[in-house]
Amino acid sequence: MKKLNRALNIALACGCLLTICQSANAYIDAGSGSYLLQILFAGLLGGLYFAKTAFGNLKAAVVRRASMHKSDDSASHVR
Amino acid sequence: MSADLQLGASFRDPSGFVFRKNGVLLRQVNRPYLESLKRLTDSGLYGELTEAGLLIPHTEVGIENAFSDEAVAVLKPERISTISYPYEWCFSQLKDAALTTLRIQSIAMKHGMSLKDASAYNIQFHHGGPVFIDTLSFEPYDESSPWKPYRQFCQHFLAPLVLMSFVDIRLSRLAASYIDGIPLDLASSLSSSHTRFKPGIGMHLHLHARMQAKNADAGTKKETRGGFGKNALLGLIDSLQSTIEGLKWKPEGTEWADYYSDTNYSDAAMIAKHKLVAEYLGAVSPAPNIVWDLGANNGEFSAVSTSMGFQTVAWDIDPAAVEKNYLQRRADKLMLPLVQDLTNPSPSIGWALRERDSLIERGPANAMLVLALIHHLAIGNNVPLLEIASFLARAGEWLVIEFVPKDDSQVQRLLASREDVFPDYTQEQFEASFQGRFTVIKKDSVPGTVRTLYLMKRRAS
Repeated sequence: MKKLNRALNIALACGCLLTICQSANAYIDAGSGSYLLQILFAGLLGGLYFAKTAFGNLKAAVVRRASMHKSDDSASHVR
Repeated sequence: MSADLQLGASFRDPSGFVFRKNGVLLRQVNRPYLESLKRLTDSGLYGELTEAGLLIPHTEVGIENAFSDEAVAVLKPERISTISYPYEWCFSQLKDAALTTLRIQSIAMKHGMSLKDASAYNIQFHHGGPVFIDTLSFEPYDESSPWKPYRQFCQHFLAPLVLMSFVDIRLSRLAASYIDGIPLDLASSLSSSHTRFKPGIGMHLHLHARMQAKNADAGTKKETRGGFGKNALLGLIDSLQSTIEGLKWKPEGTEWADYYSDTNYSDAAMIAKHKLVAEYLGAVSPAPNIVWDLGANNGEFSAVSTSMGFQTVAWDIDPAAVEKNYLQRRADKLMLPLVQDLTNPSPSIGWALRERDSLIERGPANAMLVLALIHHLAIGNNVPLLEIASFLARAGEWLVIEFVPKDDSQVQRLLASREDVFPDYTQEQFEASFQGRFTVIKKDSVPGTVRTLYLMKRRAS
């Protein structure tokens, strides 16, 4: 999971660097830049989150299945 | 109505505000918030958050208690014993407060609601941990809209945590100068350049600061609706959470962080002092509701107070000592460690100087511990003994204070690099200076040391 997080973070960093823009002096409207940044990254953030949860669910399912097999094996040994 | 007082901390939100009625803190809910309040309760969000200790519980009291005619409901929140502010929190307290805010946002979304603001002042430390106190900060979740408090969250939590972690722990004090959080362009320019290449910080701080500057006059709110989805918001919250979780700071290297491994106390003397402090605190009558330990270091003696069942605020100037206290004694629900420079205490700040209270306005404490501190104030900071007595008389009623004479090795250390211009720093002068403000109830030598402990009670003015 840590490796996946790292890969996702690197993807996010690449996104940041690709869209980095120059600062400009202007009257401050506190919300505009924050809103735009979120819109700009909506797809990336949503995609990364989907991938992370999907991988987490898949991993949990594999672990669950493996532990079920293990308990089946030990039950057959008892018999 | 004459006994009511609207508090200066909550005038901005049209949903309602807090006020005091006959000394009791109440929260008025105005008509525009009625639907959201119903949804908070009916959706099960209020129940889940209060059960998890994440939101301060309240009871509804009669509308006759309202402050003004706009009220549709009046709430009585559970009492918080001491109000503290982000610029008084150590690194881990601010980090825990940030993660609590994000956790609340995630839970709120499961119930079809969202936070409409994410101010660090909405968090208080209660029973040893962070709790959200603004019941009126929830609104129905609009899936088409980006997260409204994103900028505020980054200014109140991410920016100071990045500065504390990567630049200097003392930069937490910047939050006192910027009541709506540290401006992102300022935090971005102060941060070390390698933080730009850390994905979370790169986006949420540096790029965010640039986007704000570039789009300052864009007026984007209307245009951006419809461009954001639930998965994107969950992704944003998840990204903020992993960014905050990744921020670290190790409490070491400051003057006071290792104080108790570097004192002139023998083990026996330390045990004797513990006993004396407990005996003196036990003699305070009536038993104190709140004890302030001034110059508490890592809370060694604050813990004596909490072990006797007293709510105790352990104030210290050193963020490392406060961090150690917080991390070591999280299980102690009566302990609240906070950073405080007594030579320049937290002032009243904000609009009309009424939004955030000064240290003194949050007192007086019923009892105070002032142990191994007087020489630092009198000799280390040139504060006359009379001034110290006067300040302490404003701060609390009972006083357990330790006098450390000039022949003590710790005072000798203070005088080693400077001229002794303190002819009045004697035990006789100390007693004379405090006599005008306090009555001495008990006085004992601390066994194995040259120090003396006093129990004093403030004189009626």
